[in-house]
Amino acid sequence: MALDLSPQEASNIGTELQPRRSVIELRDVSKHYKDAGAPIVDRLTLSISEGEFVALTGPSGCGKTTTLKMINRLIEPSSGQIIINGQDVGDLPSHRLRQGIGYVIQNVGLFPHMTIADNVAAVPRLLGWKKDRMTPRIDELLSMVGLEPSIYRDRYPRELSGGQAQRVGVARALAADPPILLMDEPFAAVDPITRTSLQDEFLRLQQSIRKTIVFVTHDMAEAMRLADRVVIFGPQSKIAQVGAPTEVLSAPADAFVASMLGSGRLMQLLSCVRLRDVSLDRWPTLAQGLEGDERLAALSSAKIEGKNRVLVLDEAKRPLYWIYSDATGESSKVEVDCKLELDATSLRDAITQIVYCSHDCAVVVDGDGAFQGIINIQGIRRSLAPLAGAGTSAANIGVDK
Amino acid sequence: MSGFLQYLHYGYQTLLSESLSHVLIVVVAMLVSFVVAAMLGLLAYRRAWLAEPLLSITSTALTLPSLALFGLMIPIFGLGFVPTLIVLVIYAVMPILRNLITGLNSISPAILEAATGIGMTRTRRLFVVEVPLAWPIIVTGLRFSSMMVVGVAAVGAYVGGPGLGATLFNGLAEVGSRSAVPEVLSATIMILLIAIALDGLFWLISRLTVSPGIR
Ligand SMILES: Nc1ncnc2c1ncn2[C@@H]1O[C@H](COP(=O)(O)OP(=O)(O)OP(=O)(O)O)[C@@H](O)[C@H]1O
Ligand SMILES: [Mg+2]
Repeated sequence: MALDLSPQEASNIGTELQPRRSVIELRDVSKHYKDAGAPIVDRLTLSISEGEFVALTGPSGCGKTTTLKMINRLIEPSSGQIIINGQDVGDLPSHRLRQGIGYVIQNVGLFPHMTIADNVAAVPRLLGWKKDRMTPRIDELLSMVGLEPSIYRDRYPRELSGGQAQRVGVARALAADPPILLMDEPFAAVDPITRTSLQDEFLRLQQSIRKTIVFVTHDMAEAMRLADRVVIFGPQSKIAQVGAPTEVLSAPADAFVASMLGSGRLMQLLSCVRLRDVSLDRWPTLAQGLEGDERLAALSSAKIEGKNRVLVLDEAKRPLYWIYSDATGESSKVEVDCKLELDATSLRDAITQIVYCSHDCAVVVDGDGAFQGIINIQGIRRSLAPLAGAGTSAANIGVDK
Repeated sequence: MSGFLQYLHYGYQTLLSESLSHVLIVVVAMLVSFVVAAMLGLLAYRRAWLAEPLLSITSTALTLPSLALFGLMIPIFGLGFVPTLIVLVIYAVMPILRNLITGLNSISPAILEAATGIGMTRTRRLFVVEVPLAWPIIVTGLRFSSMMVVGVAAVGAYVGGPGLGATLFNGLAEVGSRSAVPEVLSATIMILLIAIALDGLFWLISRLTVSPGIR
């Protein structure tokens, strides 16, 4: 069981494996202000594929917001080229460009004099949508971000909590269904618990809407949690590292990146790696309904492999229970008490579960509940071995200094 | 007191027609001022460097004695409605313009950025976001301006302007006579009533036009 860490594979975790079209391209983009000496953004080149979720992160003042705003031309680059869908962003009138790009800003920026419905409808209105198309769309969007339309439609922004306002901000950006979404620290203004649930909801939403997203945050954990690919800006506005979260977490490019990641790095890595990303161990199984000799044969061949039990599966290969064989040849049934889902479970969750389950190992199933393999602590350690480089040993897992 | 009632008995028609013309010139002056202030405000919005000088002109202009201003009008425009209107407009524009500029400048940059960021043009942003947000401050300017104009309009009688100033100046000119006090008193009361009515009107306008989201 080893984690595949080749760069392409790693950057494809969480997405399809087919090659994808580049939607946003920054070519040698720089920004400097006349009065300031050093450039804010220095010859940045970055290509973002369709449906990709890219997080820009780095220390305060490193140029994340500037980079983001150059994409929708709220800030004009001093030099270089920005291409969206094969077209230079300078070719369109800037307001046309922006109407096609969803934008969520840090301080939400809802229009206080407009109702929630009017806020959400702002872009469709710019695009000249008819009312009979707009009204259902508003309700759809509000439900999508978890706000009951009948309650919130006619409220004003000041009647919302911070978290609710953030949701409306997201709904407004999504209103005209733009293929691209730019988000500048959209979840920064809320408490950690609300933030986590907003992140979860947003991830779920992204599963269904599949936008190309550029997301600015100074919160490393947030970047690692959400993004398919993370760009870490270093001092002097240079890119320190670009890669999938697992890639960056397992092999920080240099001491700067390592220091940005901090001591929680391995824990974050465990959160990023899903069970589907590691190879699982096999376990002897037995089809339900097989009795007598066949059962005995299965148990004894399991014994040869050094295993004292077999897993019984139903006809859809769903795990039912364990059958143990004891010294006398008698067998006993035991419930499967620890079942983990291949796509949804991170290694971190797996560890927690395994610690509490009664067989030292967890049964892994796919989305339909069919048996895929098992995972135990040794297996997790083995898959971590290649990740624990850069001077950190797997023994440090969970130790936050 | 009986003198006052007696005066009203004979003078109420004059008083009423003067009140009407008083209201009329105030309303015309307010309308013209609003248009002028809006144009100047738009200019200051497009050319940011104009805002500062315009604001300082507006505050110094308010310190001019109205009587002097009226006096200056006579050689240019003669007597009557027009010179009065011009002076009133000069006064009324100031607070309106001032609040217009202040109001537009007080809007949070985050909201402006959001408006631009979602694809509003500058003009659209002005009318859909900025003016509605600055509106409470603009209405306050209008309200203040109208109060001032009701008072200053009375002085317009000095250049033969319409309104309650005629009765007021009449009374003041013949202090000591029997009709002096009733004339001054009734004109003053009417001016006050007009002011109160206008104030109420602007309160109503503000109730009806300011978004509940920012009240
Ligand atoms: N108009 C400007 N003139 C000169 N310097 C500017 C201007 N706007 C931004 N800067 C500088 O550019 C740098 C990058 O700013 P930017 O807003 O992109 O940072 P950031 O990475 O988003 O930081 P934060 O995490 O604090 O939001 C900062 O050092 C800032 O001082
Ligand atoms: Mg920023």
